[in-house]
Amino acid sequence: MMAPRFPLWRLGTLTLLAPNRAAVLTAVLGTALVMAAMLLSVTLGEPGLSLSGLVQVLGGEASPYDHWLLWQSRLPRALCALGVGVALGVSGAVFQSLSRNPLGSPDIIGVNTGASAGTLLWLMFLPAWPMFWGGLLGAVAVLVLLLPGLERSGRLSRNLVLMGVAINAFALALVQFVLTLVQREQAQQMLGYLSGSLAHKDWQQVALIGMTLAMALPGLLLLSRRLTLLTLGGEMAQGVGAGVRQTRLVALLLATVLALGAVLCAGPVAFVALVAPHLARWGSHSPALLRSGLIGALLLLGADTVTLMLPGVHRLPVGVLTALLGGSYLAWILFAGLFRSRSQARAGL
Amino acid sequence: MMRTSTDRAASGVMSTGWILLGLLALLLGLVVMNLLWGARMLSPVWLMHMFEPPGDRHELLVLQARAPRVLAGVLAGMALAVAGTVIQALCRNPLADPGLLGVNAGASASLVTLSLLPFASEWGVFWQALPGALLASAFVYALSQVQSALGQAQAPVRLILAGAAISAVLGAYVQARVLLNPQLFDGFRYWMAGSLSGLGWSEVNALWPYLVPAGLMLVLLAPGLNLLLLDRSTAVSLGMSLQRHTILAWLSATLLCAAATSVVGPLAFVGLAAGHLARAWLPMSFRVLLPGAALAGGILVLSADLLARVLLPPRELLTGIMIALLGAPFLYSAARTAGEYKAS
Repeated sequence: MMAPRFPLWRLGTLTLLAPNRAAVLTAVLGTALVMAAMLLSVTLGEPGLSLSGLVQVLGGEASPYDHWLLWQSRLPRALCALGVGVALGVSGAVFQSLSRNPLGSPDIIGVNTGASAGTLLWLMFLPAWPMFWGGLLGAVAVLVLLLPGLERSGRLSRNLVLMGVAINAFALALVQFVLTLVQREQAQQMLGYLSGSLAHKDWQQVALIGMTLAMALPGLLLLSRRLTLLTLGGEMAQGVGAGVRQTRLVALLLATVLALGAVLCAGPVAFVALVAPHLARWGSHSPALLRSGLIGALLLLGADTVTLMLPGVHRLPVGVLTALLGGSYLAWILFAGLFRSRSQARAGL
Repeated sequence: MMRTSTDRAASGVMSTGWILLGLLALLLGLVVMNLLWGARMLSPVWLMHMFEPPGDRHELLVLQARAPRVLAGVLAGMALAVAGTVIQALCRNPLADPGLLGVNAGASASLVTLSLLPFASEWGVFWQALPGALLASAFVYALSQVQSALGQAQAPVRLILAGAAISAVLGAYVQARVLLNPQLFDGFRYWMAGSLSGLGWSEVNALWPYLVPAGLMLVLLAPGLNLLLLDRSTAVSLGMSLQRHTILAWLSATLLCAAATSVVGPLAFVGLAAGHLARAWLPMSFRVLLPGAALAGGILVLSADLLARVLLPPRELLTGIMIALLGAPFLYSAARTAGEYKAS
């Protein structure tokens, strides 16, 4: 926030998109890192596509199998990981800054679980209709249940997250309800989807997550300065002139759309939305939406590459890996938070 | 709160006794309903012949197959409720619940680990579940001790969130094990959600040898627990060894959770809701609170099981799912008015 701005970039609201040197640096570095991670994700793992094979495919002189492998299997998968990672990272940053609680990310307060419960119930009872609507209904229902927690400015952060934990448990019970009603094979398939998986992605899913990002990301970036103000607290933000309620509602809606898109594309991948904003906040206090999105993409690409490289016949869904890593990280910050000074602990975790 | 506590003092022992009696009557009524109702409704006449050899009277067969299930449900509910009430007092946290704090998830995690290891596959389910439950509860205990040492006892939510984190990690681990072993998946699909179906006398026999000593231990500790509700320094000055009481009570509660979880699966919310109800209705003394909570826990599990069996006949919902569907709204409304643990 305090770094000197590029005078050239100050074009009204667009200053927010490229406000300062640090942001430009982040963008350049982040793009380079994401490109490198994509390259790794496409070339590493089984079944493999070597670097020279990749060059051959791009030159148009490879075997049809390699061609298929890149264009129909690995590239859509990597792009899905990229899009879902960005969506989760940004959505997590918005939820955390709105709830003023580092734990208030969509995967803990039930948005992801709600969307997947909606999807599964829809699949059970209305299989003829696109399951998108089920996910939307589920996510919106969770949002409506969370709204009473947002209105009370005083005790907002604590109870919002706890209410979310309750909603999450309820949605999880619904998911388990569906799981026990279907056949064994279908249940195991659903369980794979429910832990968040990037296997078998095609261009349709890439288009889905791309459209989601196109819908929600620009609006959130335009709102990002107001969101920074909101982290100061509702009263403070109102004093500076930010429309607190409208900003909160619009930002919540857009962040929910992002989380929903991610769930529809890859299932509820756990903890990326929680961890990415934490890492993005490292060294600064602002929510840094874009940075959080980039880190989310890097995390998911990395985790997915690791699952591709793990040996074994049964491939682990990427969500299991992110849950193990992210959950351990969460346990660590909870312990670390305890040993911080009391005033900080009261303000933060 | 002052008003209600004076009310309680005025109405005295009588009303407490009536409440406990009412709970007991409700529990017995639910036991009868659970025995008679289900996919096949039975006439109460059969209860008279309950203990006769069934011969070819299939109604009696159904009745006698339901009996261990009902008994195991009551025992598990009581165990979880008592454990929840004790843990709530020890953490001074009104929202504490063995399911929410990750103790049940610890039991599941060690169960799926040890049941596949060659040297441990012969152990009983209880012994496979116990190490994980002990580890998880030791972790939570350490966390709550650090918390109160740092003077953050007024932040009940943080402990619950730590429990949610532990549960999430362990849950992911269980999921990974289960996804990688299809045969494990088959056996654990129902157990993971918490289920009373298929419980027989062998499960009941596996349950009570652990529940009875742990429950007795807690009853013996009740006066000490009452003192623990006071200020810590007051408790010490009244001549109580704080450390020993706390650790014994915590161990017994963990034992209760591990035994219940190993038989019926990880049921959440029973401890939370039963402890909450008991504290709302009964005077703040563990000699009354523990039996009250135990009765409430049995009632909760039995009514959830009854609903699970009669809602969608002939299908049967899983009890754990029903309990979560009933208990989550409870936590939701408690969260909207979350306060501190009331020790008066």
